Amino acid sequence: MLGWFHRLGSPKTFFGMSQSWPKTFGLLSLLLLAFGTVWGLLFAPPDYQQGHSVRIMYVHVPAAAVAQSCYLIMAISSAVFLIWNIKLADWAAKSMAPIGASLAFLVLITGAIWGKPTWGTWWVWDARLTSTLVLLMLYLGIIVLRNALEEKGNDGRPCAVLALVGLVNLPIIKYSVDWWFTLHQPASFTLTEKPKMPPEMWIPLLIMAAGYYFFVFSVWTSRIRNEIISRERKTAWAKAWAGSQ
Amino acid sequence: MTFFFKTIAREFLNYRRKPGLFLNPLIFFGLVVFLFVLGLGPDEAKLNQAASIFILVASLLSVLMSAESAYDQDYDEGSLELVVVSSNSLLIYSLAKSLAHWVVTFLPLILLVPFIGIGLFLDVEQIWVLCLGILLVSPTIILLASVGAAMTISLPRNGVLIGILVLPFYVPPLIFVTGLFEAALLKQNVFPYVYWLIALLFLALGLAPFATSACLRIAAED
Amino acid sequence: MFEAVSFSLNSGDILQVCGPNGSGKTTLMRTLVGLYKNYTGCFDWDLPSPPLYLGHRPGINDNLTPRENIKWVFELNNQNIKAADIDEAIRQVGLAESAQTCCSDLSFGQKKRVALAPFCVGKNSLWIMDEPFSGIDGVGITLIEELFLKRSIWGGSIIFSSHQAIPSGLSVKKLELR
Repeated sequence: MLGWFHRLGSPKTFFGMSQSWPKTFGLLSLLLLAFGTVWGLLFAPPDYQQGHSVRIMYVHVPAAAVAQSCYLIMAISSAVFLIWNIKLADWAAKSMAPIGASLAFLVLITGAIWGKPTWGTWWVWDARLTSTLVLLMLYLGIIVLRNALEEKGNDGRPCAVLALVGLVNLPIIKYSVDWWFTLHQPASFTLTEKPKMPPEMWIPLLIMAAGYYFFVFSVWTSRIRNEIISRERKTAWAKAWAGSQ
Repeated sequence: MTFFFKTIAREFLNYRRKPGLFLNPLIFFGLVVFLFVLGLGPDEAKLNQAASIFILVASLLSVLMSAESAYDQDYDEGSLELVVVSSNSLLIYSLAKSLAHWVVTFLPLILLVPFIGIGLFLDVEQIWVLCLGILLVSPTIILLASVGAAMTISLPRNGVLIGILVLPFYVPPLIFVTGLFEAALLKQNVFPYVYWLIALLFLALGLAPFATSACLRIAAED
Repeated sequence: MFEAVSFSLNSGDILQVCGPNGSGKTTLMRTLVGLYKNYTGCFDWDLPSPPLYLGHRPGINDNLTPRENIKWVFELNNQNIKAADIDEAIRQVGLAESAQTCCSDLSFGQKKRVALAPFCVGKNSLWIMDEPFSGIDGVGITLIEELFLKRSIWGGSIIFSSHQAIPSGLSVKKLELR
């Protein structure tokens, strides 16, 4: 088992192993997302308060969960890179950052779209919204630092440190924002994705979440593969692979 | 321990030789407050509500200015390499630098705040609370800015970059300080916020120097 | 960066690492000092104190005077140094008139001499110097050669890199990098 992980750390091995992953994950994700979307948009019951506008939940909620998981995955990759000095882990973290950022952005946009009919406003400084905004800012910070470091040709270790510092701070930010806003403005609306929902609602939600995860893995492995082939382009195996394409 | 004090002494000497390193951020601070005030207009009631926050945010921004210079110079000259090569701890080194940075950035600022507060129509109570808030939050701010500075140490023009990286982490301290100000305004008990700020301070003290020294080591080994 | 390298050094030896530009001399120096960690293999040495290092960048704070800079190097090495010794070091490197000026007013060659001053009175048993001869004039070269001579008499070792052959009468081991 440990040997498998060790071999996984070699860019060449990973590249070979992951040949079919983007397509397979992508296909799975497409199927799941299509199934979940159709179910959610057409067949799931409308909410008794919100009516049909609750259906955006099937896009918004899984995106939120996955955006946070992406950060965790990125932080774990960064930790692996810092501790064991496996460059592939650094490339994995680098590849994950824009994906997480896009998802966080999607969460905010769909949330705003959901908010307009339900709350009457595009935005409110509620604890959850603010901490998701901060999550987006953390992602952007990591991307910006990565670009600045690569421009100068330095390695990505400060980015890894930043990802870990962010991981430590994320609960603090969430907690303090929660505390702040419950103190001053109790949440008039708790987003209703706790399992008080009937199965007709949370099953499509789960399907959508699974679809999102497979989508993320598909894009992530594809980006890692790009990163590998671009950084290792001078090696013999890369040239052989390019030649065989 | 002597290394700690020697580093602080050297930092102070450096600042004395080049006062611009800490005076310029102070002037920047004053100008930012001035801009805020101009933006809001001379209405006393409006200014009173927002003044404390303006001053606080301006101080956060000015710290970003000075953080850049605190670490870059050592790296560019090669002094950082000498520290890493010697058997001294980078942790103590970064703590000493942060302490010197704090003294030189926030002590003049806190002395300046009452005068600015008068100009912004704050009453004495509010000025006290403002000074208390800045005093409690400033070490956390400095420590976090050090982490940002250490991460971007080898990059040119990193003042803005430090801001982008570090401002999200300023959110919790900012929240608790604004809570402090509001509680004081409403004549409520300010001590919960004081304790929270002290807790954040210790958290930063426990974690940030490790991140800073790790990044300094990474930069020196490049 | 470079192929397998191995050497051994006894106390009092002087080792010159030479090779063309880009052969990895600086990387080797940095590895020996602990600044570069991406290597396979090992080296061990028996040293009572960390080596005194002179890198590419002189490690001089432009805002401080030479005295203060030299004092800092000794503080880094946890060595108590008396003011008289610092003055002696400054005199030996020929900067007595500029002892009280800020280093920003000195030329690069003079700054390098400030960086060399701790080597005049330091008590470290190993010196690692990366291109000590670059950027200084004839007087400086003589100074360094004198330093090397005094050093080997005391029994301290020196590892230095240079891609020029240094004119001297010292017995110097050579390590050639390609």
